[in-house]
Amino acid sequence: MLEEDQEIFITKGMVRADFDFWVGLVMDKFYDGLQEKKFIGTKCSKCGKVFLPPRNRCGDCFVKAEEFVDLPETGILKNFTVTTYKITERKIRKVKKDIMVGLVQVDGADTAMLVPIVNTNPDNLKEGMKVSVVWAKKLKGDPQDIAGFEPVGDG
Amino acid sequence: MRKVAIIGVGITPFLSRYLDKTYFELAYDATKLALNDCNKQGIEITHKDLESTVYGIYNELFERQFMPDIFINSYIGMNDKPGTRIASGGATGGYTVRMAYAEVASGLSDLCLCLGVEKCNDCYDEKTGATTPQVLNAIAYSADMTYEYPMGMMAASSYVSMVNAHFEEFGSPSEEQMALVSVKNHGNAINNPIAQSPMKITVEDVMNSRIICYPFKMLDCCLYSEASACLILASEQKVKELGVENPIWITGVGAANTDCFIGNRESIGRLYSNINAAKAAYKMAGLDYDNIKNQIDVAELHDAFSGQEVISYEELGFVPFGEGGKWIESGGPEIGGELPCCPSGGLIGCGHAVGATGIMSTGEAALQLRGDADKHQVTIEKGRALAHSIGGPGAAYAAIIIMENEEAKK
Repeated sequence: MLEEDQEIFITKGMVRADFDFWVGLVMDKFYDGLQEKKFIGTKCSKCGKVFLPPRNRCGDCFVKAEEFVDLPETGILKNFTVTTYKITERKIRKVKKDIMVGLVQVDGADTAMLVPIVNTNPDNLKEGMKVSVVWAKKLKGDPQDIAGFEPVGDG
Repeated sequence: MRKVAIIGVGITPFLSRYLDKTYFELAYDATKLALNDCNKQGIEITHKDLESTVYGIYNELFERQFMPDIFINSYIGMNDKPGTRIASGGATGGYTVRMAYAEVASGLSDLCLCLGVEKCNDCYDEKTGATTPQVLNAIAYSADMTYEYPMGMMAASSYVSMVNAHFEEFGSPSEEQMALVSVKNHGNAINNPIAQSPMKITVEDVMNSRIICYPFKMLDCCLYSEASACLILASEQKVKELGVENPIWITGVGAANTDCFIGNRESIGRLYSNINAAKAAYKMAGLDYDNIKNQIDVAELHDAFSGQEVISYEELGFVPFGEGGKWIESGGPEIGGELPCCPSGGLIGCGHAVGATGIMSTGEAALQLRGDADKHQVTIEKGRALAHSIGGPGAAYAAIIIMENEEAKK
């Protein structure tokens, strides 16, 4: 049992190791594409499935999927959610403006990817609505180049 | 329990660093090699026939990914099937084989993929431009965090205390006798195309290489590697169904974890994990600890450090305690000797890709029994082989696999 006024011994620090972690050939190409405002996916050589974000093996067919395909800036909102909480804003807990995130299937791709939804409000969101990418003002070739997707026309 | 056989082996080259591949691509490559190995033998299976996976991946910090197995699962087409990950330090590979064996023996799976992978060298120190400090940093968290880690316990120092104590107690192995292991295993690796460190060296070269942690010199230590290794295990029913002509049966599986605090052990110079794992494996396989040298054809040992291989000769019952050093002087563990040990080159010759290593050792032993070890093939007369994995703080984990080829015995 700990005494009420007992001092306890604590070791401080954190478990870490430094990295130069390469995301792999296809994700590298994907991020290069973002910097040029392009979506680059990969296509399975057997079933023709198009992956975005790309991957270079199709698990289902057990073959390589190394053919790169350029994909458009538009897609379909498959699913979404709205959050009022941001882990990096613990002190205030609530964010000033609701954050919308969704799974968007870019036209021509067979997979959906996680993206922010911007320039609209939660009441306007509908599954299946048409959306289009909004690029970041400064492109750096990383995930933040995708500022988000916004509804196209009346969705 | 049901009978379990190894029907396919896939091992990628062990390299210092794969610049062009992620760990899931490496895992895919090993799986493909194992499936190809089955197909070459006329066993007609694809990834779709595999029913479950047991993954051996030691370290999240290496892969920079928690739960790295689940990402591989998607890449190798094992979605919607069971997958379990094993992490038991340096013995991860051996323990993974043990659990894959259990999966098939118990009836949970008829065709199980046993897959190990490690990609450690993305750990990188920007300041020095070297990987070693960060890789060792990632390994160092294996030590007890309440005392041993803050006191500076590392992998080499933890093995050295046991090797030194063993020498004090039994007079084996001397530094020169340890160096003979390095010469043998670097030399054997010359004939193994997957090996990272094939070298023709002399005892003098080893003795003159720089001291890492006394008495271990640079050439007494294995290198850390990036690689993937894979086995396909099948039940007896599946072996019959697929018409497998040369199944390698797993007849003994022994494992034991000894006290992870070296100072708590009855004798510091003995690896009780080794002794107990060996006895358990031999008992299951119907073999005799005191006569094991005459009952098996080949042993793939866990030679992370040369001295540890010599101690293993004694602890695994190949020779009496204190005679391991003399045994290597007499050429006993050489290819063509009484009982060839590490004809593949072992960890010193091939490299140590932690989660993949024990699976590589088991796969190498299985290939030997099948007669498919090409240039480093040894003579098979008794039809039995041993694969050995140890690791963890003070080598607390140990797993030993005994395999048999019934055809070779006839």
